[in-house]
Amino acid sequence: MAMDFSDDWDLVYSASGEFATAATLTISAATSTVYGIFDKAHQALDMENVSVTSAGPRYRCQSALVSSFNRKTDTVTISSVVYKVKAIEPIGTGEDSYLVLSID
Amino acid sequence: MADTKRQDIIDALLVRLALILTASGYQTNAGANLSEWRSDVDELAANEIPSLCIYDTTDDWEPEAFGQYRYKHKMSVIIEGIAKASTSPTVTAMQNARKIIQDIHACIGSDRTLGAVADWIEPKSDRLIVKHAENKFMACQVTLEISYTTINYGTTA
Repeated sequence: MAMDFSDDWDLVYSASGEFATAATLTISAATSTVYGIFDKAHQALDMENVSVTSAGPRYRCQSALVSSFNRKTDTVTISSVVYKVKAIEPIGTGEDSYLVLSID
Repeated sequence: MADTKRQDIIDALLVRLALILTASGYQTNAGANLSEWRSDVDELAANEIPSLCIYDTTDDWEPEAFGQYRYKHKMSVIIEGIAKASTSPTVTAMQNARKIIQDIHACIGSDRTLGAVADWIEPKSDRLIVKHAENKFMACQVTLEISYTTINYGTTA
C-alpha cells in the first residue's frame, strides 16, 4: 500500500522515527513529550571584529503542538538541556515549524 | 633596530591589560585571554571567554611646531571584550560586558602613561553589541586615544 507524504512525516514524528528526537514541551506549566528532528549545527557569530564559536540549535515539529507556545515563559527540554524558544518559523505550508532554540 | 614607539605602546598596553583578573581585584578574568588583531576566522571558543583583543587602528600625526621634527601622535586603539553569561553567581552576558568595560577603564585609569611609554591616554567611547545563537554573547568596545611623541620624522621616541 502506497503511503502519502503525510504518512511519511507521521512516521518521523513518532517514537519509532529513525531520526526522531524526544523533546519535553512545557507549555503553561503542563508538560508533554513530542518527537521531532533536532539539529545543532556549528554557527560562528561575528561580533564586531572577533568571532565566537557557537551552535544554532533548532527543533522541527508539528506546528499544532506549539500553537499556544509562549516564548517568554514556556520551554523545550532536549537531552536534559532546557531551551528557550527565540522564534517559531513555519515551514512551507505551515504544518511544521522550526523552533529556534537558545539556552540564555 | 629598536622597536617603534607604536610597538612599545602596544606591548605596554598588553602587559597592562593582562592584569585584569579577579585575583588582582578586578571584576572579570578578561585579561586571561588577551590577544591583538584577532581575525574573524580565528573563532573564540566558549572556554576562551571572557576575552580581550586590541586593535591599534589610526594614528594621526601633527608637527609640534612648523619646521620642527617632533611629531605629536594621537593613536586610536579599540579594546574589544567578549562576554557571556556565567553561573555561581548567575550573571548575564550584558552584566559581564559592563563589568569588562569598567575593568578596562580601572586598569588604564590607574596608569595613564603606561609607565611613561605614552604621553597620555584618554577614553573616547564605549559601545556594546549583542549576538545570539545557542547562547547570548556580548561584545564591548572601549576606544582609547593614546598620545605620544616621536622625533626626526621617525617612529621611535
